[in-house]
Amino acid sequence: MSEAPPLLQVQGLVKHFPMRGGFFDRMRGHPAQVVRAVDDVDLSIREGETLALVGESGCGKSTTGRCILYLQQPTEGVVAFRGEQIDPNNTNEMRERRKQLQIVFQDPNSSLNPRMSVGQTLEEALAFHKIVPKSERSNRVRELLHTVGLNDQFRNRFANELSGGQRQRIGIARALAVDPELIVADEAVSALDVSVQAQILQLLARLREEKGLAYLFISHQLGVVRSISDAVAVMYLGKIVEQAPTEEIFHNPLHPYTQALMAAAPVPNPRARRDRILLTGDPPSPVNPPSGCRFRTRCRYATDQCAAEVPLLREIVPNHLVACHYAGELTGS
Amino acid sequence: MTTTPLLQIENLQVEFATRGGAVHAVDGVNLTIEPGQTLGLVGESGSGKSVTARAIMRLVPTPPGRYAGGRILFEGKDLLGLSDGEMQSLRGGQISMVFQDPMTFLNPVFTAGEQVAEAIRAHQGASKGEARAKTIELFRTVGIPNAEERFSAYPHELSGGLRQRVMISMALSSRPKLLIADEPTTALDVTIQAQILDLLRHLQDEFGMSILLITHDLGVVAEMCDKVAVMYAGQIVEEASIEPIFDAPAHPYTSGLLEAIPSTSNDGAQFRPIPGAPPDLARLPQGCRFAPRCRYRQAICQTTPPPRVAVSPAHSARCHFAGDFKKNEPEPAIAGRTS
Repeated sequence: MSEAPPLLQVQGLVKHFPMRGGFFDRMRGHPAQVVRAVDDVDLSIREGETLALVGESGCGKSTTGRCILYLQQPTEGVVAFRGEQIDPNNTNEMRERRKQLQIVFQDPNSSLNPRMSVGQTLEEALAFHKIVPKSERSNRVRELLHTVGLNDQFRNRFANELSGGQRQRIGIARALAVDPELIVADEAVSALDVSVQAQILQLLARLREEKGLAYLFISHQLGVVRSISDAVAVMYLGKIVEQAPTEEIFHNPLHPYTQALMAAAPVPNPRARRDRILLTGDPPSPVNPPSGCRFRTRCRYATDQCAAEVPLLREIVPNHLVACHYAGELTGS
Repeated sequence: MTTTPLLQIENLQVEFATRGGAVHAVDGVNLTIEPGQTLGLVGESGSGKSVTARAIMRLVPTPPGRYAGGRILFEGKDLLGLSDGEMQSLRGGQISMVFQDPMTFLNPVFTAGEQVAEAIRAHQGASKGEARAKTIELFRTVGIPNAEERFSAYPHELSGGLRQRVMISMALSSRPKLLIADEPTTALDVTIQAQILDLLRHLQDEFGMSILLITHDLGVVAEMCDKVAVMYAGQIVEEASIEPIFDAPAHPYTSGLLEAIPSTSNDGAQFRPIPGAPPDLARLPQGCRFAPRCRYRQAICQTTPPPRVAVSPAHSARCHFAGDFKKNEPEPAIAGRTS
């Protein structure tokens, strides 16, 4: 197709963390092991699009987000921005990229410097990236605070004087300081109370409208994901198992893991109590993932084929990719 | 029904001394749990739900905390009047508690099995061998695979779900009449959460205990509870059985909480945040504590604290316009997904 390249394209992303074996392991000559946190992930995000990356703890979703920004060096794989491959060794280029790609973390408490006032935090970002001349920084800070729904008095406050929701607003303002095109939101609303969480979601949605931002929205909360994203990718043990437009995946989940995940999410409606698809056991260790399909140890449909062959992501319905040998043949019941 | 309630909390007051004076973390809470019932205590951080739970176990650190008033009647006995020794035998005996984070609850230098066995020996005076056998049996009951092997596993060798199962098995070892579960699944993944909730339901059927489930997740409440109490700024603002709370919330805060949840089952996926943040307990507003954030507030709300209004025999709310607040509806403005 002769379309413009997507805003962000990730191909064959792999991140392995070497595990330092214990002293006795090394003496006995046991080979060094690796944690396969992310194993061959492809993603693409168009301009202004919100892609949600969903999965349980340890599935590699946050590592994927960090590798895209080169906060962690990927073991393998390429990240391209507007069709241009990012070269992490080129410092000047990385500086430019960081203006275009920003991240908001889950815990604004540990990602804000407690010794810097809100104004200093935001001005630092402006100064480092030389966004506006020094004389205009103060005005720009006021604008940024206004954009995230805080008044100018917040500039003199310190992180400990802010509520969780306000801190997250500052984290967002800091990401916005450089006028990015894509924000990786890593569990950005997970630590907040429901009423405040909705405020921040609304803010993110408004910024998307006003600034044409694209998001990689990393989350484990399916309800939140459904409300904000255009497309969803589901990860399990370092691999993407299903990817589709949001309404398609919620109406027609095809991977047994996605089906179980959706069935497990509690619904605030006492009449919706139903027989859930209960997954037995815990996710296996990413140090030594199961052969074939990684989900097979918890999958109620698993067969010999699942142990022998790794299922590839296939397009089952247009734009709906599933990595399951039996995708489309399994019903949710 | 005319059963005597298992637990009855009357006008409980718990305050904490701070530099700025006493802060009323729990301010006049009334709760009733019948035998075999599951009561959900819902609220956001700082609403006083965990302090209420800890007060039942008399686990509020004093000082800085202080039980400033009220009664906690367990089978008719006031727990606040018991001696430390009497409380000690009740705690982990007839009343047990499960916490959010099993890793901070379990002792890292003892195996999971030893810790459960210790609880059994302390409360039931069993021999070492008996306690071990009982522990392994309990591990099976709570669905721990390879129970015998897991007896000698240290907490760090277990997954989050298994640690929670170990904690539940310890809480159940004494066959409690009341299980207090403080955010028991909040730290767990959804698929594991589903397993633990399922387990709690099965165990309740089997043991016939009452559960006080403390959570911020209305989805969990909808799945588990018979009755709900919603807390806000130290007070219970609404109490009812499960269906009215979700069908016809009588307090604007409950209604707002329900509207703020982006739900997986909701096609339009619309939600509306509650503006602002909960008040500072040291500087409470003069009238209704929720008034500054309430979209339906009227003049009276800002001057007079609302009484508890019964909208039906088993449904009450602390609001001047309980059950009828929607008549004060401002302009319709539903936000949410716009693209």
